[in-house]
Amino acid sequence: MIDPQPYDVVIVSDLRFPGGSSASIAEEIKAQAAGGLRTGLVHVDSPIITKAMPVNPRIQALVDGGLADLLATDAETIAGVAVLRHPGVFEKMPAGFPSLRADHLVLVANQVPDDGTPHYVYDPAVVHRNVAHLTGYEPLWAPISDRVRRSLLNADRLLPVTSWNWVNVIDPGEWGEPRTGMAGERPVIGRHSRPSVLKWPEDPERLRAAYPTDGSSKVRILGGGKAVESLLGSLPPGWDVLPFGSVEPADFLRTIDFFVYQHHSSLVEAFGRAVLEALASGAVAVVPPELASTFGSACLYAEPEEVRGLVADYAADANRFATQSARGHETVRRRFSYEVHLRRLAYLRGQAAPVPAKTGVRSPTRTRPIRPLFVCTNGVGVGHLNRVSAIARRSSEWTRPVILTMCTAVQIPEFAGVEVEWFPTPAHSGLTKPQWNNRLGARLDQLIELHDSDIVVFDGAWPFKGLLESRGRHPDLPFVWCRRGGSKQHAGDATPRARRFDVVIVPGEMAGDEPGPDAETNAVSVGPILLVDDIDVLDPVEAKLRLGLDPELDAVLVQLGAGNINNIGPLQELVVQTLRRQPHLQICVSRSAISDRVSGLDCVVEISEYPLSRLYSAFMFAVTACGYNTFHEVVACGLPTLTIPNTSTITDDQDRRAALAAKEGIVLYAHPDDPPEITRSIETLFDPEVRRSISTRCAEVFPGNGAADAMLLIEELALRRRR
Amino acid sequence: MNDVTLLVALGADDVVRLVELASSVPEGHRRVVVVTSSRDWEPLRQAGLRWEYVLDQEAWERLDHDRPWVDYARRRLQGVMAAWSPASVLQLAAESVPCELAFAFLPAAAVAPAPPAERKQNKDLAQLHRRLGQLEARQRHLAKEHERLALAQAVDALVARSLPPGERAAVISRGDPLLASQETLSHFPQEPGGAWAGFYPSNGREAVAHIQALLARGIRYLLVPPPAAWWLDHYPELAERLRHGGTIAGYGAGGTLFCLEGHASG
Repeated sequence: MIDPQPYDVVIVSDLRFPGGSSASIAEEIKAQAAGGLRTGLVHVDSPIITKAMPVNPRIQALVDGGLADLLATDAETIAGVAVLRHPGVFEKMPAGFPSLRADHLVLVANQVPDDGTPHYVYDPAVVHRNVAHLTGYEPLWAPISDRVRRSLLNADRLLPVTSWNWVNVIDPGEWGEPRTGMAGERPVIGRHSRPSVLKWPEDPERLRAAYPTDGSSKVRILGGGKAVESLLGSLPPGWDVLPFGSVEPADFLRTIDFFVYQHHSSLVEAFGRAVLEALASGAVAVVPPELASTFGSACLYAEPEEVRGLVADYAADANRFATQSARGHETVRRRFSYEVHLRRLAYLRGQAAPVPAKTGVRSPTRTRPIRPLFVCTNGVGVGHLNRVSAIARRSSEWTRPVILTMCTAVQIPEFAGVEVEWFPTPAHSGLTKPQWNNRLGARLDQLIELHDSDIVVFDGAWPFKGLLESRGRHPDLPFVWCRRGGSKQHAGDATPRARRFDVVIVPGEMAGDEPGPDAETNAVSVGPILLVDDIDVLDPVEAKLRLGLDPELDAVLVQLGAGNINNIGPLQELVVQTLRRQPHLQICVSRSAISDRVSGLDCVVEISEYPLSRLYSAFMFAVTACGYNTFHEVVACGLPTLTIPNTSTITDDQDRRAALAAKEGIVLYAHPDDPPEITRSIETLFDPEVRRSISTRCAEVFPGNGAADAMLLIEELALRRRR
Repeated sequence: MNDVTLLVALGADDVVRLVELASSVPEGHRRVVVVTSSRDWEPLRQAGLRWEYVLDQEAWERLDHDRPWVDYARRRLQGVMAAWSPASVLQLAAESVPCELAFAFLPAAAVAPAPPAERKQNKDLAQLHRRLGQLEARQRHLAKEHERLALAQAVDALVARSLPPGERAAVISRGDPLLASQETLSHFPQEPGGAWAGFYPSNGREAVAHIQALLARGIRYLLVPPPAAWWLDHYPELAERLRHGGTIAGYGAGGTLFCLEGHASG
């Protein structure tokens, strides 16, 4: 007997749902097609839809377009990954179900067991038992949000639930772009949802508070007109109400500025697909605070009574509106894109096979996270720790990175949400070099074992002997060297050491395009690796308040390094003296996370915020050293800057970086031994035209943050080993 | 010989205090290595101390490991022992740290009989141990006092916020005068004169009878502070009485204030 042709992914669900469930299936089909994966669909009649209905038109169109095959329910089906969606579909044993053979099986929980409605209710224990019976495997439950996870585990603590979320995905490019401002003078508030009273606040006063009836905002809604009528008695005059399904949601969303979604107090919104679509369209979303765990800073959060004030604030400030729109759009691109879906499918394929179901036995099935161990040295600043934290911060939900640091600035990995282990530098350990290397090797061996590491990523100028010895003891484990370019000529030939690594990641260097004095054959270049993205940067007023500054007055940042290897005192004094000539200027001197120095200067504000680049928006311009991180951060943020390189570093060629960058027009440059030039350059930066020109040039040449690409590569290497 | 002293302080978050303790280690044992699960490393660095870091249980659980934290911590401590081969180990007790972690130190030099030259130092260490024990006991006492005062403040705040004017409440107090220090507050259960009854009700029916006695005295509110939350599990009839025969008039860090007559006034 010939086996049927296997599919990469088979999706099993009721394909008739009118709303978000089918929309999510459609998006996953498109993502799979974009990734070159073959998709099969199996329709199962669920007890939820009782009337005769065809397959959802969005899904049908994709089948007609050849992006997926609709399989017969009684066919024998082979799948790399079988995705069963919507637990309620499986609460009763369906009349037909395919003979399914799958390398991996996941049950996507896109609803809470009890969401406050009388219809969408399921018992996780019953569904689990049914799916095990139907498929022959113990299903792995993948909730679409933290709310669903909590709810599942509340219902059944022993349910095998992934520690990460099967978030809904979307192609942001299909929906729109970040907005530069509102469409007209008056804000347009709108929303789209399936027509249900549960999708609206039940209290008329609260409904009117969120969706004004007094004309202060224009209100447009797609779907739900009858629900509003039943709640308010009639549709408010002036509202523009379109029937559900009469317009494509993407077209509708382009016509609104603010997507305001407030719902019935008893409804538990599992995810909020409509919110995701609104963010992808570039609208600014105002939603209930319960959705914060799903959307983070992408949305604004408010109770119905707070909506009007929030909309007015953002409508009055075009910059703020544009920043929030960009933040929402970027979040969709980063956390809810097709790429995320393809990555989780790749991750699932790297897992152990599913456990055959046994009657009455609950399997211990769970996914094993990808576990990278980052190792970084302590340089003259916090650059290495900053870089590995930047990469680790971009890890997938199913990845659990750990950083072994030799630097005490734990605020940085804390900001990135990454756990750390500690190892002292040779100087701090009190050991001889050979003793230290032996101990480092032993410590790495133990960490690899304790943390069950899949890959080791080292960031430092020069790999230590102890690290390479540990590498020798783990020949099957991928080792990666993240090696910043821009080293001084005398730094030595790193090629022999580079060959001890599977891959060398070379973070982009905007000042000069060569990777360093030597080029390794196993090197992969990515963009400059930065901890902070645009979406992390606070708006200028918020940033100034955070720093304790007067929002009405200009501020300048002075950040000349940690001062651990060079005496920055006189230089700092000179810079501050020059700045003081300008009246009413707030001069901020940053204190490094690893410096014991205090500036001792009068009339300056000493700041020690981490990561400071989130607050660069507070400053008119900056005067900084030219280390890799600071330099790339100011350019990425478009902060006009005078760079005064620290020429005492051992390997980092700051002087060369600063000079090249000045030629590109992205910074001003002055040598630390040239006080007249320093003074002249600072005075130049008070000219708004000069600052505008530098900011524009920075935006033109910045190639984008390479941290996510680096993390993607690391996860792929780790998974390749598992397979 | 190796003069390293390991000061193991898992579960102790006050790094400044650790620095003080490490500085008080006698001469001859000056090379102190602090073993900590705190990430507040700067004070240690500035004091010139060395340290080893062990992830605490919460951090370990965030990493989603199958291996239990105790297992990780034991292995980690064994690694620390192998790395430093300390002459002695001082372990600060912390309630959050399971006692089985002490086994990690069994191979320590401190377990073996000390050679004569080390006896004097061990005597110093024994004194230090005693002193540490006294400090720990003092700290526990102060911590309890602090908790008691904080609770009393929270109770006062809750009553000020939620008890309607002219009303009185009883508080499950274990007879603590601090909790019933206001004129409007008295103990629960109480004697007819309002003094603490001096015992717990023997069962739920008896607890409800005390409620009825309160009402007869015109006291219509009962405050259940967080340390007394177990009453609602232990006396199901009382819980039933409060949930169905009363309403919640207010809640906060001071606990939950129940109106005993179905609806709160004011």
